Amino acid sequence: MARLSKLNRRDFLKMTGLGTAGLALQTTVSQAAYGALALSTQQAAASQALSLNIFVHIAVNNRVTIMAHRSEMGQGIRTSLPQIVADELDADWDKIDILQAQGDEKYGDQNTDGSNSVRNFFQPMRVMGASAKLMLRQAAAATWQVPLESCIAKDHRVTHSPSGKSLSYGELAQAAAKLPLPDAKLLSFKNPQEFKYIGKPMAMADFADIVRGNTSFGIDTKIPDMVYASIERSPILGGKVKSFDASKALLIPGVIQAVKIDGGIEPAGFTPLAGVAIIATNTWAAMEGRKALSITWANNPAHANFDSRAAISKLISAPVTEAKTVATRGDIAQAFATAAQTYEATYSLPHLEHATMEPPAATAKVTANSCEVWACVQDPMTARKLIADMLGFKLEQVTVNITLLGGGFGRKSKPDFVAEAVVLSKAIGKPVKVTWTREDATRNGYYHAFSVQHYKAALDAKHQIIGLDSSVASPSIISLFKPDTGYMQDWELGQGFTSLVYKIPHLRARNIPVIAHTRIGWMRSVYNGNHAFALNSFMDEIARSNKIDPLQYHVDSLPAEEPNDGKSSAEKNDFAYSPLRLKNAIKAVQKTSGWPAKVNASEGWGFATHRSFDSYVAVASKVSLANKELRVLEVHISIDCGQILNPDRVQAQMEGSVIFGLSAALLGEISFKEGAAEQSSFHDYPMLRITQSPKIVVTLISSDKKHSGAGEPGMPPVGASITNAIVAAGGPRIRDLPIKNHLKIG
Amino acid sequence: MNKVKINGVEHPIDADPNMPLLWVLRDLLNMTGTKFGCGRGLCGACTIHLNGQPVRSCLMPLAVAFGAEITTIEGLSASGDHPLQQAWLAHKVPQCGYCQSGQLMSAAALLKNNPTPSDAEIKDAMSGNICRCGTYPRIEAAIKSVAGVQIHQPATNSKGAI
Repeated sequence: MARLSKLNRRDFLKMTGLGTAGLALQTTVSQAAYGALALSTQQAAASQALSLNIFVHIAVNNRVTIMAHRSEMGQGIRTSLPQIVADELDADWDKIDILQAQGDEKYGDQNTDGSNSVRNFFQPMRVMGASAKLMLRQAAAATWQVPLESCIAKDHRVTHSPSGKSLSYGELAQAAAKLPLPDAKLLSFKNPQEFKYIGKPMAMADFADIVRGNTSFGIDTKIPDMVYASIERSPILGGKVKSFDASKALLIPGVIQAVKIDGGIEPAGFTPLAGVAIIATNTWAAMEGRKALSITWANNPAHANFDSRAAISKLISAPVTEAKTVATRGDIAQAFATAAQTYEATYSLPHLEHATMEPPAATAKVTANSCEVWACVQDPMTARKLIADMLGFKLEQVTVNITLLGGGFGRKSKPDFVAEAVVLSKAIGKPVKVTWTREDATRNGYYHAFSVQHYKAALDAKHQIIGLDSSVASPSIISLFKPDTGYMQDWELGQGFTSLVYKIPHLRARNIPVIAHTRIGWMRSVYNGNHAFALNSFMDEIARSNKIDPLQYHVDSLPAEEPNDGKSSAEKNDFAYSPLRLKNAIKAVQKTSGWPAKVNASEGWGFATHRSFDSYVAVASKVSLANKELRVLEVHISIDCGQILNPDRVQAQMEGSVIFGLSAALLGEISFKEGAAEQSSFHDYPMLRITQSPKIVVTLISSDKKHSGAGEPGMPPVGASITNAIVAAGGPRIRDLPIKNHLKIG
Repeated sequence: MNKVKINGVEHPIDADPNMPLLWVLRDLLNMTGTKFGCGRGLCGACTIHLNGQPVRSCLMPLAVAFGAEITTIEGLSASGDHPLQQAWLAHKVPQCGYCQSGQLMSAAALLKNNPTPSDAEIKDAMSGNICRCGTYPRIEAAIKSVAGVQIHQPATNSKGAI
């Protein structure tokens, strides 16, 4: 079992520094060779030009240290990426130490977001392991004065097969360290049949600490002289502190001082919201002090009347007056002119908040010429740049320590909470820990965008869709960074709205502008969940209205052939859309669920499918409406995410995606009234509980294609599988989420 | 000065008796295995044992602990090998791990009071603990694997926090 290193950075640098024993490998690999990043945030785009520096260290004591440069939030990445290095290195997993890297551009892209880690780092990690192994073999060949080919690396040793001479990696480390980094062309990689760790369900290196409560999340940081802060923030976007009175707060034992935070900049980006912080000797005193604050806000009138339910209702009922055509194919007017039948429906989904179990928390220590932070960040490089810009420092003056993340889901890509700790530490000249309350997280989030989608289909005599006229209105994430035009970005629309996989000869897709009145942020699967819900609901409606099996309707609507772009199969990109892979995913849930399965009275099955993050997912769910309440009984989910690095973690991601998708579809709604979020904690923004958790059956489809996403693609089809099942069970067609606004949830 | 017995060790505490035990543990005693999730007793992340019963430490004032026996995740077993901790490893239960201290403390209290719970009793006992990562199926499987197996008493070793 690999173990997590408890070394701090300085000790590690000492260990790997010049003059000390051991082989420290810092390979530079051009990222361009491994394909462009799929996520299109500005931050990710900026990092594409960077090269990768990933650390492997082999010590004379035979321990191998592997830097984990991505953020760990339960997906297992700081175990899975070392699995690759260890395998190509032929290292012994029991002799591996895993060290969490700090935020530093020398590691390449660290933005742990967009289900990208394995997609982007599988090959660089293999290069790292194979390079180190070759150097160890070269060192052995030189030591024994024998041909390289006769030196075999296996189980943490190099052996000269003719003579049987053998040295451990630790014994070879110093000699290997003197060799130049081998040319990439000389590297040889294992065949999949030879993999020892890749593709195996290795246990997360963090498990042992987690079950003993011996973990360090962002919220657990404690450093000398640290004080604790709790911040009352403007409930409305763009609000500023007009005046405040902290006199009562200062009477509370433990409260040290109150600090006003200027903020409320628009577009907000990751800058702090305006507010007043109470600084205290412990978290509770800070929270109590905050309750005694009196603040008068200066609100931005543009947002102070925002009513999200009214905005969604208006978009549902209003005719399209202003829209941008974002995709066309064929002749949509002709399709409707020749249609045997038409079908029309409008769907809506509300704002959501990530609700990470660990609320945002960060500790900062700012001095005259340095800043060090400890925080649960998914995107440490963006945090580092933000801090450097705020303080007028160079990047080298800013150190970002990445803690464990108690859930991320995209929330912790936004380092506004780190910026708050930096502002406060600078203001009071002491290290400060900022801890968000649940209410803070719920009321001042980076909200998943609401969405209103209208679909109108022209059907031929066989009920196939020959024309699809669609529109979407949804605030864009770009509103966080640029003056808001109300229009969505291409990549947002491409998450299942304009990127349709079905054989529809004529289509027109339009985007209706809608201005954001809160901070819009990406949440697990981003816009895919919204678009998958509407399209899968619409297809189900058409199928059922024509007495067609909904699952079969999807299969029949997919192209019969793989897209023919003139390339041979060997030349085709593994990430190119493949109807065959989607059909295989559908077949998998068809098999495990026994679709079309018989059910008892008041029960029904629903189906949905979606491709996102280059992975193919199908879901079949069984619900009961007995006793006039919804119970989800079974959810069958299949995924083809290419080759699988760690099947246990992919399975866990599928289980988690089902639960996450059920929370959203059944219970999830953040609504705004007079500009502010109406919900505050788990009583009015509930999450699925174990009593509501269904039987989950996961099928991992074996594939030789390149690795694709696993953290997010499971979620998008879940919601529609449930609303479709509700109709099958004799319930209403629910076009507006969440389901709890229509049915009692059991 | 008032003393509080945590994981078998007496700790002198100089704090407001209204301060929730959660913050006494985390901020004053640096025992951060017990987690803050909501502060309202809604999520279970802060679950500890007070005289053997599971309680939400975010709602439990320090004064309640005077003269009582407190057990936290750090003291669930002497060497981290409580049958449930072993079952959590065997079933690869955690994802992010943040809620798991509370999950384990709720599960341990359930099995201590009812060594052979039914499926419904397991779900009911665990219904106060939210896991946002969605580890519920594995939590249930792990508890079932231990149900009926003899459970050690919580550790009361002399070193306190382990």
